[in-house]
Amino acid sequence: MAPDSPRERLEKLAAQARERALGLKAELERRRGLPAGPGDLFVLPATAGLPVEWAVLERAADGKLLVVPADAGPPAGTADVEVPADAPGGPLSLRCRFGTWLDGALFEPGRRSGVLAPETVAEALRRFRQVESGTLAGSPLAEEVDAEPEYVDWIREVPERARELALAARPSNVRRFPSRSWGMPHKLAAAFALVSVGLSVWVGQLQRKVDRLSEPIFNPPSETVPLGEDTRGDISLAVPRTALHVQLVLSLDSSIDAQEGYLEIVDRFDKAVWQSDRVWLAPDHDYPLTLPRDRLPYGIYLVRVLPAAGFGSPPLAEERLLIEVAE
Amino acid sequence: MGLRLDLWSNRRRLDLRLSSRTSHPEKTAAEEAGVFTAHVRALGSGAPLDSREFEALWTALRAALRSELKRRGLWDSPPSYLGIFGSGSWEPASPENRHESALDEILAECYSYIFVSRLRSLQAQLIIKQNIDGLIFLNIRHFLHERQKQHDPIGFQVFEVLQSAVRLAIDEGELRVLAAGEDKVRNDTVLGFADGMDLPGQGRAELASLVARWNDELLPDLVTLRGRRQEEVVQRLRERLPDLREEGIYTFRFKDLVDPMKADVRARWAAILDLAQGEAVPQAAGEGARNLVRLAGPDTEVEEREVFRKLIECVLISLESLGTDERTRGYLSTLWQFVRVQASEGIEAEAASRLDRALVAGVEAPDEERPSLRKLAEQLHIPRDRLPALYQTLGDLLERCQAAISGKAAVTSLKGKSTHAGRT
Repeated sequence: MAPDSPRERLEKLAAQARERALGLKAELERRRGLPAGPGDLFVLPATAGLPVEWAVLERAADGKLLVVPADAGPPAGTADVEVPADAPGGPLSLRCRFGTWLDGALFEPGRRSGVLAPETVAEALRRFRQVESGTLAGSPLAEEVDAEPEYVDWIREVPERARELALAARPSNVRRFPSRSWGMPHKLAAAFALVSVGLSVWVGQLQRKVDRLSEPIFNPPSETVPLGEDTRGDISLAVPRTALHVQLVLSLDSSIDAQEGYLEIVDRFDKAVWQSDRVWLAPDHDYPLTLPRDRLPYGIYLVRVLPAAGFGSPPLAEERLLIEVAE
Repeated sequence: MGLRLDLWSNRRRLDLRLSSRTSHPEKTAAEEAGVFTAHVRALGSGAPLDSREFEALWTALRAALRSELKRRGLWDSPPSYLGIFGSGSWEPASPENRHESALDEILAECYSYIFVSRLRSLQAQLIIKQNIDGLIFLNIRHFLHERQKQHDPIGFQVFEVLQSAVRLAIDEGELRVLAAGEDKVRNDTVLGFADGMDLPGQGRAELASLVARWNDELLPDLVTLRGRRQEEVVQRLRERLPDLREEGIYTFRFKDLVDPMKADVRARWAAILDLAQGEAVPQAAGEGARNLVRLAGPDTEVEEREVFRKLIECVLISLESLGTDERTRGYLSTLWQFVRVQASEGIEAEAASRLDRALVAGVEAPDEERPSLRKLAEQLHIPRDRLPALYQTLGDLLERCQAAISGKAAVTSLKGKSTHAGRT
């Protein structure tokens, strides 16, 4: 039998790659909507500038995840676990020296990018523990990799930097604004516009309030409100009495078709607390919203997604939100 | 063995595509900007590839690869340094054969490395990025780096050791980077001593003799010391760098220094490698059987590369726990690194290219007076009369590792094994 021409062989390889990609797609589809767990690979917006994924090794009771950066860059050194090309997720190097615990909320199901074999996870956990305990013993070839300047540079510039960025990220920080949604200047403008409503009466009091609101908004109470997917019970957000702002991340499910529309929050009397401008509703996108704390007194609210027909039309999705006192 | 792309049948279609685009240059630029990204998306969709888009991808990848080869100073080197055999240059002199060039052959390898093996990783980045073309360029660099390491181990090792030594001198304030496109030490990096005054290029003629003197002192460790022990030879080379100033060379390009150094090491190595090709292993006194350690270059098949890597590692690990004295272990380690380079060097693909043929038993005894053994002993700083037993020990270890890796025997017996090379 005549051997394949190089072009035919290449096309067969490409076909294999496509098959693998479809297999992965099916695997990811099976895990769709499931929370992040050991063996999952994710990408994070906080590290989008670097060629890394994050491999989940362990989930703690408090929801935090033990993760390590993973990349397809230089081969594995002593502190890394190599995932061969024919293994699930491979070829990849898990940089276990840079393992860290991150907030599980950073890992959104829509950003799951692959799956590792259980034995790979076990080996990475073992390597991570060895790094932690100082008992790491590498193979001779891995030690050769450690000594390569190219590897040294890569480790400094990619996984080390990735860990710094991931540690600095918070669920609210990593949510991205779609191009047509509100930006931070708009949100601040909205906050200040709100404050100015009673300015003529409460000049002195509001001046102090404006001063407070002019301060940078750091670490406000935050919660994700999934819209368009089934949730069990109310979404609740515990807000300390001293908080000046709250942040909500309105997260559109993939079941909502992309279209123009509106977002809205109403109180239990169906009175609008906040309404968006007309925005582009993109499935699997998040819409961060920062509001002055006093716009959302403790109580029950409804968060709605509305079609372009406008407010008052049947909502595309609706979710109950409970604002409660943080003890 | 590389894939050789047959683009000839599509040439006419490609030309048509290009000519149709020339009337809309602004559209072409926009389309070309995301050609790699579009290809990854197309592969991920599972749909059949559009031949026009595939050709556009191919053209763009070819240009990017050629550019990176030039940037790394590989364009003027033999393609065999990257595992492409049978061509003296990347592009054939005759245009009739341009579709069978070494460049097209490595292009196919590069395509496979990036778009087949790493497709999942690329698709992952598409979840959070609109355009991943930059990642493709990064992967081209990784691809060439790995190829060079695999097929030009001497050049790679000399480059890395000298690069580390220069970086050390920069960190210590003796050398400084005068001009470079990046902040890293690369071929085109211009370096100078703190009080440097002359122009790069001056004294280049003297560099060849200077680095030859360095190599007299640094070899074989320059090539055979790896891993943790590589630092020793880096430090020794770093201490030699002030010799440049004493020779009146205050400013130089990194390439001006590394190229003659590589050439000198390659020449010395070649002198023993050529003669050692297929040479029988010298027989230890009292031994009845003989083995043959042959030049055996791993080809580019992933599986075979992996077996090669495992064998190298297995023997290195076995050496660490071998029941022998430190001096003998040092000799064995040096000789094994020599054999490793020997088996990796750029040889014709038609030669015995399978690692499972590295050991060939039952050959005739060699002539122990062969000049290559004297050269080998001189170059590796190993007493000549030790070589037969050392070879025999390595042959035994290699055989056991080979059996262990292929699943034919257990590896547990390797640790603490006594050796033919046990005397000091």
